Amino acid sequence: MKVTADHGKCVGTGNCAFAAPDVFDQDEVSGLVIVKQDEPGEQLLGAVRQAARDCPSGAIEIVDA
Amino acid sequence: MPDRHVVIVGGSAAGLSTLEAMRSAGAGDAVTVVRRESHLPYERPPLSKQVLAGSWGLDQTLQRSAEEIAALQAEWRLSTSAVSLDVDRRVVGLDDGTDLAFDELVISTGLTPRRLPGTEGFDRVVTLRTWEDATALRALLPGCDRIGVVGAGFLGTEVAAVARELGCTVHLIDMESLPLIALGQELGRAVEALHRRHGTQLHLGVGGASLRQLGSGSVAVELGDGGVLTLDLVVVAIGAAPEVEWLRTSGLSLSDGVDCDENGRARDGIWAVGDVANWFEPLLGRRVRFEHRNNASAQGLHVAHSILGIEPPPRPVPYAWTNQFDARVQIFGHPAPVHHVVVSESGEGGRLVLEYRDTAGILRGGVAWNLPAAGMRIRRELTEGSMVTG
Repeated sequence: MKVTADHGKCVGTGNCAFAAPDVFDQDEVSGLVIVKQDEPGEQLLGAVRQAARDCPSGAIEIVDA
Repeated sequence: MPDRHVVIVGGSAAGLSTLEAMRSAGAGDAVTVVRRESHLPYERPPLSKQVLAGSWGLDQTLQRSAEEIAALQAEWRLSTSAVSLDVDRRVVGLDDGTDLAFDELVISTGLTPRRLPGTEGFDRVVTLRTWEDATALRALLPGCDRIGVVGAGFLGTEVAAVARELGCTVHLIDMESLPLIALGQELGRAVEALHRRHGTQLHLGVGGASLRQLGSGSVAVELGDGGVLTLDLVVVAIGAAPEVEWLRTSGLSLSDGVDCDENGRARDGIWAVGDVANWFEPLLGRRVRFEHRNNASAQGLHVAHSILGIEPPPRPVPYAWTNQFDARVQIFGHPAPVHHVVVSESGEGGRLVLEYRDTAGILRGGVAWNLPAAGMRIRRELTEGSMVTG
């Protein structure tokens, strides 16, 4: 699984970092998403899917899942 | 369970969330979405932020592509409104004169903005709720130097901030003494200071604003303190009413939106989600309605699972956010002015953390201002607390 986050879409809600804290974080200043690991293990697929679903601006994309 | 016909009335964030969660769980039921708006679902929060500022086009607010919508295999009846509900016959009446029978009904008709009495037909007095509203407002803004915003809640303060950043003179008017007063004085004072710092002209604690159209594209606003403002445009942001007119004769309980139990059930097989839904909240011991984006998704997921007979996941801690000027403010839980508000961090750069505690000292809500890490801590603490007590 590969994970990408689009800063052009991110509105900094932190929903992703809450759903999948091992994969996403928020920048302390801008609040925008930080992808901590862009190829997380399959055991994190559920959390990453949740993060993508919870994002209100569709900024997170999962490929090869 | 044999395939049923599920009707979702109002297909915005909450309705879409319900549909997506049903399909994710493998539901094969026939689904019809009745949607008053002519567009596929789009995000409302950016309308008063990125869209108004011009940094996003309206297309960027679409929640899903046409292909993704098609993959959900629902029949979308756009530009169609429900006008009645017959609970016993299990039929929704539509404005095209047809009846739609359902086995399960999901009500997600959202809100209608309140208007100031006597301003009907004023072309320079607008509200902001829909894509069309945002389009109209954006078309008007470039020709307007003097903007009035009536109502200093989330929407009003956001619109005022964007208008200031576009270089307009902005008058923000509210009968309350502070903006966002529903969240207490501490946050209100911080938002007031933020706006003053950025040059918004605040008229707080002045009730009874009355508006007169002056012709030639301007509006006179008479304030309760006797002042008169002549403005090019007035945005009215004094809240919105649950869209339940079509349910008046249904027999459903409508004390504030659609009254529901803690699972979103109004009657057997009749559910409500999103802004219109007044769910019983066990943590508070009363019903509560949330006009927040995150709530729409969470309730949609919850009801989808309930319809399918699957145990829903624990309901998330309420979360809302507002972005204005350089402030990114996150609000969690159930903060209220009656709580003891602890300012736990207040430092450089306009950062602020507020913790709202009840008389027993239990954390009930929190605000993080430009401090996402503190917001995450509050969100986790509230989540753990709701699992213990909920």
